Amino acid sequence: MPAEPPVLEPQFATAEQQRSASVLGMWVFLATEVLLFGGIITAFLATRVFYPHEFERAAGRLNVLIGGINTVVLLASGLGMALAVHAAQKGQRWATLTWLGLTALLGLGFLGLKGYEYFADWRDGLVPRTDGFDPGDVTPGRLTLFMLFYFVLTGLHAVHLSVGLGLVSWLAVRVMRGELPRAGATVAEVVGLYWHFVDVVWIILLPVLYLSGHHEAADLHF
Amino acid sequence: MTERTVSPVATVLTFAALVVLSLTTVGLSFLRMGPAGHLAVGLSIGALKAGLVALVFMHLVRSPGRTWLAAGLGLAWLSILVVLTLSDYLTRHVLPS
Repeated sequence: MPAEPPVLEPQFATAEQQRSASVLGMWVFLATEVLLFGGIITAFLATRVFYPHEFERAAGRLNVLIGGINTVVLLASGLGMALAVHAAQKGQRWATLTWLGLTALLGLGFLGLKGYEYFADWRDGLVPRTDGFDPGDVTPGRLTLFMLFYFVLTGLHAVHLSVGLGLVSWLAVRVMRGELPRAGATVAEVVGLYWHFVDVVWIILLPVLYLSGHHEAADLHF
Repeated sequence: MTERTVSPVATVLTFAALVVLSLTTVGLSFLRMGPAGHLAVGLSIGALKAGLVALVFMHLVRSPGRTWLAAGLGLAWLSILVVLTLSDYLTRHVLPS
């Protein structure tokens, strides 16, 4: 592996200061992302105050089996990313690439399952249309409001995950070119922070959307 | 340079804890609870899981004060957003217009 010296930008005194500024920059960016998702989730919670019955009913209709499996898949990808960052900091090129590959595969698996879930939602009428539901004793328009929040929140999350997959691929190319352990390790750390944040968003979306209603064992199907 | 990584063993143990918490929280959604109960239990476990990811996977536990400040400010503004909004919507029936 060619030992590439760190490219020190002129505004930094040391490589460590440069690394530290990169990491802090990503944390500040993630704080703005908290407010992006937080704003929509707050709107969801405020709407739920008015229609708790309808929102609980709709949440109980979501596919908690796929949602649950996808949670574990995404957590496993987070483990892969954490181990990739660890390997990158040790300068272990192949270990980094292996863990990055696993992370990307699990991320793709999440998107694949999510895509299938959207198909199943469409098939089962879980779409923001008033004729999509069997409304029972509740107002159908309020159920469709829940489904709008569901598609906007999970869709925005899927967009973020897709960006994450692009970043992981870009990072893998840099690692392959032999940029470890210097510049590549910092890039790995920053990409890792973003990936874990996308995990955290899903960790919050699971209870907000899927688990905020009652499920029956009979509902466990693909 | 200060140590800023978390050991692989701690990382794997954290992952195991996250999976156990996920199975628990999904399992609890099959119990009979009020709608607010499901949301409260789910969000509490979710916050615990998010904390574990931030502390261990995102290395916050080994990070300097300025990183805690950035993470804390994100949470502080989120709290303002949620608390002030819900303090309006949740109390509208208390003081009728």
